[in-house]
Amino acid sequence: MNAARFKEKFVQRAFLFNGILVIMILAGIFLLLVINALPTFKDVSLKEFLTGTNWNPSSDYNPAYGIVSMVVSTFMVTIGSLVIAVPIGIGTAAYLSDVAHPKVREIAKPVVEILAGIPSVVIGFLGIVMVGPFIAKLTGTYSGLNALNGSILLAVMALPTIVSLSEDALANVPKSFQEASLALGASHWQTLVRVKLAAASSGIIAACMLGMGRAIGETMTVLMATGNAPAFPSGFLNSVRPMTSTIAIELGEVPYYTTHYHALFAIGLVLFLITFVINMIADIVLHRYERNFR
Amino acid sequence: MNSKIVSIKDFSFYYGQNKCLKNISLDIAAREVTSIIGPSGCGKSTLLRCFNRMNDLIPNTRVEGTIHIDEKNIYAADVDVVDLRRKVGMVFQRPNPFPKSIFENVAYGLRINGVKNKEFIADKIEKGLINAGLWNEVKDRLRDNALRLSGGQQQRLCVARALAIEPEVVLMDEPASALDPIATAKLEELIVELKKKYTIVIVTHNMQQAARISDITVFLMQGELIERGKTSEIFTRPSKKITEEYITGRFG
Ligand SMILES: Nc1ncnc2c1ncn2[C@@H]1O[C@H](COP(=O)(O)OP(=O)(O)OP(=O)(O)O)[C@@H](O)[C@H]1O
Ligand SMILES: [Mg+2]
Repeated sequence: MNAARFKEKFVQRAFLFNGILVIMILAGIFLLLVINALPTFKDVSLKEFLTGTNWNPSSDYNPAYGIVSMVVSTFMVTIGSLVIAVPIGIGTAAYLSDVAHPKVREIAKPVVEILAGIPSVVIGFLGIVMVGPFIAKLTGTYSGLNALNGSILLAVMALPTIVSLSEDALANVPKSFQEASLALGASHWQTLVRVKLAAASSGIIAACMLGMGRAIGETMTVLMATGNAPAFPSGFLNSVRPMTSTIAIELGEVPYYTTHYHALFAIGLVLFLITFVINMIADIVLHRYERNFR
Repeated sequence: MNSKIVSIKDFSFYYGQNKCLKNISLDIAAREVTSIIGPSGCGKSTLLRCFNRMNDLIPNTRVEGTIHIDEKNIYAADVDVVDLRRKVGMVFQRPNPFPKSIFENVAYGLRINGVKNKEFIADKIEKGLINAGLWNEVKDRLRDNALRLSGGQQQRLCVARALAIEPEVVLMDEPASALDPIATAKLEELIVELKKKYTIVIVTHNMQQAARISDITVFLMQGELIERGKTSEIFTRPSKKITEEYITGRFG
């Protein structure tokens, strides 16, 4: 065997090894979650865990392990952030790709992308000292640390991803589609909405899904800005405590190998499954779209 | 000769400093096929794209002179380009159907004009596809993605799409260059058929094609209009030597 062939084989093996390693680490994490989560259900029924609205694991005489409140909180904050971030993000992307002067785009796009690198604790900080008081003043509520605040902050965090990837998707729409549309007497606006956004929709959906992925798993920001009230939320002006916050707050103090400890892993497992399902749905949507229109 | 629909007077076009159409004057008659021929880079596409002001999309361009369509100067300040482009349709060199269904492709021009009536749209689409000679091939799969059609079918779909809004003038820039001989023959038949209702201006590199389908031939070279005349005359006894040399393939 000559040196070149040996090198080729070696590189191949190295990549294979890397691939296997990554898969094993991921599988290991999942296994760890499952193994640590399962003992929860010796004391708590799966039904109570998944349908109970009361989370009070540290009570001595009547501990409760229902996660519905925090699941609802997580979804409220996430969906709220998407409601804010998706229209703004797509609008900004459309502006950058179609309206802005090329020089503006050249400067604005990297700036937007840098925003993605702001540490979440800084965003949370802004939530406490700026967004919170502002919401409090606007709505006359006491603290302004609530689901709305979390939604706004997560929207800010998801925006760079959504803007940047959507802009890429729009820029990748072949110019010939645009020309065809304009030559048929469509205005720039009609061309943008009916042709460019439509043709870029798979990329835009993917961008929003990635933004959502970031929002749903985000911990520090929501921990700081949503007020930490583990009760069932009745509106966006309620303080809430999403799943991530609960784990972050309680795992540091819980005695090891108690039901409470295992229940926190079970929450992690549920969160993992939710993200997994969302990603799967996104994938199926994208594939269906591509089958029809590529 | 029929009444003229397009009238170009002393028209020049600049890409930046580069004057690439030089003082062109040309009349185009209604319901005839006019072909523009000339060596690569002589400005055929540029000229064609001035008829519906598609060149407006290219930054740093400038025009001098006038182009009148239906007696109106299309480069006048008060002209609505959107209206102009509805009146002057275009078929591009490469088929460029939208990534939508066959139906939606033809419906596009109607929808952007605010047509909502479903029966009206369906009727127009059927007529458009029949006109473009595509109806029999696609009538059972109107909801399929247009990108799954063959290249020739896509190009005829683009013709149907352009015709659906009933333009007066149809511009075609080497519409057959991406097609095989059979698809080309079908497209040529179609063009000859279309001239009963439309005024057609076509750019082509194919001399036989120009000879077969056009009534008038215009020869451009280096941005200048060298000769315009009846196709039969241009191809048998051109008045300029250089035209003859180009047509007989001695250069270009
Ligand atoms: N977008 C542009 N910017 C600057 N110059 C251009 C642009 N498009 C074309 N030109 C120049 O204008 C001249 C005419 O180009 P045009 O595309 O009209 O030629 P053509 O006759 O259509 O050629 P072909 O037969 O190869 O399509 C060429 O010299 C070309 O380099
Ligand atoms: Mg050309």
